Amino acid sequence: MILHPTVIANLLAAYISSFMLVYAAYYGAQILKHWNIESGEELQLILERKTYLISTLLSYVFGLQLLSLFLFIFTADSLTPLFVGAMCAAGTLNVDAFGYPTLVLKIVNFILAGLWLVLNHADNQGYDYPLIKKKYLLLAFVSPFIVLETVLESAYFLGMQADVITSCCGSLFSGEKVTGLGSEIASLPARQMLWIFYVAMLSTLACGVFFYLKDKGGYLYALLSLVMFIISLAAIVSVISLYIYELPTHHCPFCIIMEEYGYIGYLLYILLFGAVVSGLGCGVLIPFREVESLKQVLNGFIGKLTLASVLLYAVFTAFVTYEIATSSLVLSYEVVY
Amino acid sequence: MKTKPYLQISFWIPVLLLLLSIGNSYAEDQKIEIKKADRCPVCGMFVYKYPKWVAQIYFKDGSAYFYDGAKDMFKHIFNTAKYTVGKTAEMMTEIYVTDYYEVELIDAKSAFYVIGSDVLGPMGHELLPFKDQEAAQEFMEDHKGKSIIRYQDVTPTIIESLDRRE
Repeated sequence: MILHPTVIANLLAAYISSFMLVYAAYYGAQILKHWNIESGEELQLILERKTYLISTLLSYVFGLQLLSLFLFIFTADSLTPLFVGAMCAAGTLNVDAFGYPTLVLKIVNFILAGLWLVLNHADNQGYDYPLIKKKYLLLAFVSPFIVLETVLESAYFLGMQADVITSCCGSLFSGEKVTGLGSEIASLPARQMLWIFYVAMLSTLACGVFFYLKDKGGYLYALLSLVMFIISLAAIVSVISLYIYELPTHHCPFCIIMEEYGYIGYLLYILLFGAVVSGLGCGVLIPFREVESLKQVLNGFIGKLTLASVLLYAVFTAFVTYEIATSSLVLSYEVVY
Repeated sequence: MKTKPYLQISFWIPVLLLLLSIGNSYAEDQKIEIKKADRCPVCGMFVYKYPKWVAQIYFKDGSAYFYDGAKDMFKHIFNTAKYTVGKTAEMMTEIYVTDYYEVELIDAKSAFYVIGSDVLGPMGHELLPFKDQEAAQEFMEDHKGKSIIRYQDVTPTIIESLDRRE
């Protein structure tokens, strides 16, 4: 184990949120089982009072969960000098077998936590707890993932050995060796990928604007925003990173968060994650528009989410386009990847 | 008004550096200062972080490339077009590596390289450059090196084997 302040911060955050989550999930299960708004029994009154505590608690836990993804990346990046062969977070995550699984779970949990916050916000708008069962059902679904993430994260940080020679991102995300997911994405043809990215992004934005104005195609937009999220991540690895680094062979998605590149990576990832959560959030809320107590308010909230998602994607695209336009890299040569 | 002390210091440091640089090895003459933004064209690492490991290649057209170790420098030599499109190994005019003991730039073609030692560079197992046979021999004995090789003996296979060692 390496006693670095950021490691301690990560682990503490993970344990605190897991503990509070398990506590909340226990009462969530009680609510799922015994909730009956019609009843005036003592249990129901206790549960009604508890739900305020729990949803406040969970707002903080899931808020922390959102931050912890970036804290984790930051930690991996700042531990880099401790490992031979690592030049950025990519190498640090590769130090043992638990680094990348933790990261993947953190990304999944970021989206799930974001969706829970969206659902919780919508539920709080209605006077009769309209979405209470749905939100605790989602909580029951999310909790195991977050607990698993805590277990993996502990295994990752506690099992770190300083004398490991890890791989640099140049070899983990290299376009020539097609072994491993990173290299496979890196070896996607750059120019085609750029076309796919722009065409898909324009369609997504068009669909989002159409949904915002005409109130049609909401599910399609939710789906597209998820697809666009995945395409964007792949595009960052296969082509956008090349323009940021101005090197024809460097595909790393982690070096862009470093100081030398003006922390542009954090900005891009925050925009991207914000966009996918608000986009998917629309899809989650659409089925509840007919709920009596939410009729007045939910459409406005969905509209705001759609607008936020479209704007975040648009700003993301603007930054990417700026990076490409001001980059001195020219992809016109027939480079053999 | 008195001059602030740090202003005086900031004047004397460059003068001192100038004096020190006179009479240094010939490589210094045309050495281009490494900037914070310079990266290794092979792995993308920032070179200024690892001054003890720097290797350099100069091309005919005046362009210069820096590496965070001799290993990446050889990768560039063996596969020039991949990392710098439109350039070939024949267009290289000067190649320098940093002597591990002296920490100064030496001509890569006349250097002695120790491989298989327990000293790791920023990119893991490395070829450690020395300007003379004695220094290389001494290092090899001290650090469990495997062999001493010359510039012309380095092959892509050797570079690959360095990468594969865990």
